Amino acid sequence: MIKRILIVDDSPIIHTLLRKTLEKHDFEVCGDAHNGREGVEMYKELKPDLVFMDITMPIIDGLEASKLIKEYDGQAKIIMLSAMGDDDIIGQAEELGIDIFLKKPFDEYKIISAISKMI
Amino acid sequence: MDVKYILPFLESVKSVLEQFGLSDVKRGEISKRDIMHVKTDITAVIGIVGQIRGNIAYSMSKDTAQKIVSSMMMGMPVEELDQMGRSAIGEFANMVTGNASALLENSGLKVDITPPSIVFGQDVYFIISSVQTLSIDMETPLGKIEVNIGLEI
Amino acid sequence: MDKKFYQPFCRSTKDIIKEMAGIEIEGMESMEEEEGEISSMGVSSIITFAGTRKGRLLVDMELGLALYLANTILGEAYTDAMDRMVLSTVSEINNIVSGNAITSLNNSYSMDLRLAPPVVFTGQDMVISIPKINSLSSQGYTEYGKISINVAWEGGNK
Repeated sequence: MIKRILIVDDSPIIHTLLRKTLEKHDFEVCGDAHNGREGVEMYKELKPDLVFMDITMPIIDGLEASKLIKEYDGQAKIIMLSAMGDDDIIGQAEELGIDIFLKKPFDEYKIISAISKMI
Repeated sequence: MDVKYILPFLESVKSVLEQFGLSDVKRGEISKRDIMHVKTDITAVIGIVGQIRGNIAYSMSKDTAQKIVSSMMMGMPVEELDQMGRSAIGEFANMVTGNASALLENSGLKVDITPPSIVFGQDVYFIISSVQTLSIDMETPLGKIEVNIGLEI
Repeated sequence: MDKKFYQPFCRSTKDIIKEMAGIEIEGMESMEEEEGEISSMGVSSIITFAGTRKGRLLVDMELGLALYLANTILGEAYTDAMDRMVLSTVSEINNIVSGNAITSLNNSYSMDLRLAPPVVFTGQDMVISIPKINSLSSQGYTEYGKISINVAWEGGNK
């Protein structure tokens, strides 16, 4: 079955780039959320197999959104994808049970190998 | 964008100008935009980080900027915006945004402001936020100041 | 302020543009003190940040380079600087460059820096002034146009 992926990021550039990479490898992008709150709502609605989550975003940030998603679904699979990645932020992500933290920019290999570890 | 985040910036424009002896500041037209098209000469932009993030851009004509600088300097005539004048416009943006951030802090939001930058040029297209920018005209005795609020909330 | 607070931005600009668009920036090795104001080459982006100190990164480039970056990264043929996707490409590059640079500064010097959202703008004859704050600039060249960065820290570089 085709795996369904939700992208949560405030940059239209990242949506375009990620979608290209994912579709090339036969994943389905089932949703594009542009802030943390939209990300949480779309997760509940779409039940994706995996989420790519940015951190600094409008309304609620990616750490808070991940927390809400994990509270809703303890099995949720989230890959953090952020331009910011200092020890403090990575520590907070680890506490939330985020397994993979990728730093922007990204290439195809980075994305696909991260996904293969998750699903 | 919740009005409670907007009002502090408008109140601060008013109260900072009052400090320079200028009353009668009124709120004019309000509009929403994706891309800000500035047709006046000068835009001072300043960032906000903390519990809310964003950028605020204050756009005005050269004439208004000179008058603001002049009133900041106790009425000293200002013929052109030299280094000191530009510095004063940066300071004005700093004061207004700093004042607004103190008001936000009173309502429980911890924010910090970042250094201002000043952009000169007519006909400039700006994007200051990944969400919509709210643009409010403040009509002052010195001319119009357009307050562009791009808060990511 | 010490050069070590400026240099990460040069490195990060070169690395990230190479990684995202596959082009080399020639030059951009050393940084020179900036006198006063900067005339924009076409498309500019400003990101400010605050933590234990406050600062700003300005990335400025010629229109041809901005279009090349958008076209290469997104695989479309954009021709207009005012296109939202072109402007968003430049601001996202700045976001990633700044994110990387301040991540390394945070890890090395515990500066607790956080980024404000990027500002991006384009127009004719734009001049950018950064009052009361000392800054360093660095110029670079690519096949598709020039690029320069300017890094400013409050508290200065004296």
